[in-house]
Amino acid sequence: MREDQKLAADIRTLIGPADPARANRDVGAPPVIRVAEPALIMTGPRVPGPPRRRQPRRLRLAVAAAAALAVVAAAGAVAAGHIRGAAVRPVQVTPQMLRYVLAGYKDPVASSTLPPANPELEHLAAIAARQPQLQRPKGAQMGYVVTEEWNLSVAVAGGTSAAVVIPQLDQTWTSPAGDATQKQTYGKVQDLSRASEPSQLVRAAEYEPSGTSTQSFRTNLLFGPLVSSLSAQPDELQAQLIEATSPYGPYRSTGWPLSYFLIKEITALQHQILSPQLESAFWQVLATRSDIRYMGLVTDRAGRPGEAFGLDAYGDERLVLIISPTTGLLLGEEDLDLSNPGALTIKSYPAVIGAVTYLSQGYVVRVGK
Amino acid sequence: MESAELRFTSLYHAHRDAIFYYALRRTDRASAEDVVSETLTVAWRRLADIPEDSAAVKPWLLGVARGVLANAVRSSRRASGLSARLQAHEEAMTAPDFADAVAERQRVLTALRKLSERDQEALCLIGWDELSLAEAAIVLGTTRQALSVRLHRARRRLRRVLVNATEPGSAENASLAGTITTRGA
Repeated sequence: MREDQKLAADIRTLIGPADPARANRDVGAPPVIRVAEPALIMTGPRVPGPPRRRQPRRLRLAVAAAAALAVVAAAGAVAAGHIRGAAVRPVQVTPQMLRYVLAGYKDPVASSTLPPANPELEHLAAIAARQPQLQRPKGAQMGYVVTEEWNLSVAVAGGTSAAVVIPQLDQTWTSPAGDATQKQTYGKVQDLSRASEPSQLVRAAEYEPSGTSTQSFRTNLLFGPLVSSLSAQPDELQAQLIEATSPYGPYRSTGWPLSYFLIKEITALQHQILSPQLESAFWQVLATRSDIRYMGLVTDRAGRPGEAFGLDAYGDERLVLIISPTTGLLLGEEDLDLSNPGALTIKSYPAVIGAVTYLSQGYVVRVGK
Repeated sequence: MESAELRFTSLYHAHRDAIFYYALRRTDRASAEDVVSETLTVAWRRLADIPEDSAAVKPWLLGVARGVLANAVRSSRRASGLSARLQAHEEAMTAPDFADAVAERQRVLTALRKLSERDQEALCLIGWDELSLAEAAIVLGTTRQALSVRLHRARRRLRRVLVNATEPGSAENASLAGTITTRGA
């Protein structure tokens, strides 16, 4: 134990002076932090559940005051369903749900007794494995993936709610050496609810209404390990995916469903160029998970036919993957709220609160080309 | 007030600042506040899962904050991971008239960035968040013994980089001499 203490003390001497928070801590007074009071947090339910996949780009919790303004991104698991002491009129309109068609099920989204996904996933894995490798033009080493994405945000002000959607086009370049660049282009904020004070509520969302941003980082920071390092053998691949997930999520200590983390890792990896064998192995891995269910046929947000698979996480969230029945490629993801977890002010459930559509991929010579 | 509410309120006031500082070391202030909110919300939702042992509560919360932070980074597609955070600090400190203390800070941050993300995280949990090895092991989901091995190696690598950086003519030293520029410049 003394050895541990000596090691810790030595490390503190080495890097302590570089502590980015040192200046804040040296002030001596408690920091001023804009977070919700305990009473507001405790308005939410005490139910088990994983943190939501997507976070708002600027999420703020209101202080517990009737006149306070709250901005809540739908994907954030935040207890701001209502402001204490003031009822909030719920949002009437949310983005359109895709139409899932499954024989014998009137509404696959609402159903909690969907059939197992194994046969369809294995079938799609076989289809994916038969696809040709993506052509690589001479000199083109850089992977290039284009996705379209949006998240629903709910803004609350003065007892009124509004729903806004900010579409976003992402262009991602990844190099074989593990460098990634992503350019995000934001679309116009869409106010779905047409509330009485839309401008105030849209402003409240605190989103930049338009523009672009470009960031460069190591690929593994956001998009998982290099795909060239992954095995196409399902057992080995699953172990690698779990290993890749472990630095980012405490699923082992919390007991959150492993399938949730596997899906999250697989979707992150889709920003790199995948071989048909690896794409096939992804679906073989998911085919072993009994909690992933088949939701039927669907037309995705780009108008392409797909087969849908859902994972329910503790009853209030469903992750949906849409896979092409002709190529076995992932076409899109949908994030659904199945019930009111206390975080939102949406009138009716289930509601779609986020979507990613994979539009195109290929190899290019350099970033931007 | 019920016992669950009392427990959460007590936990909130005892650990809110530690969560904030943990996040602030790894992202910008606004995002750090978001991480605190999300972490405390998760804590309330999963109150029954929080260890009864008071010494294990802070590591449990920082473990959740770590996951929340990583999810936020991934989902928002922002490169606000530790490396990027360190880089941002490094770039913010390039003014020529900064004192020796700032130069030393920059030297350490530059050296830290040369380590793997995992080594950085392990060192920072001990050196900045001031956790014990046992506490940091809980945050990282590993054993104290495994973390101890990692830390010994990481410390050795860090020292090596720091030594190399101070040798005249070294690449690291050259970068410290003025090739680091503000982002976008």
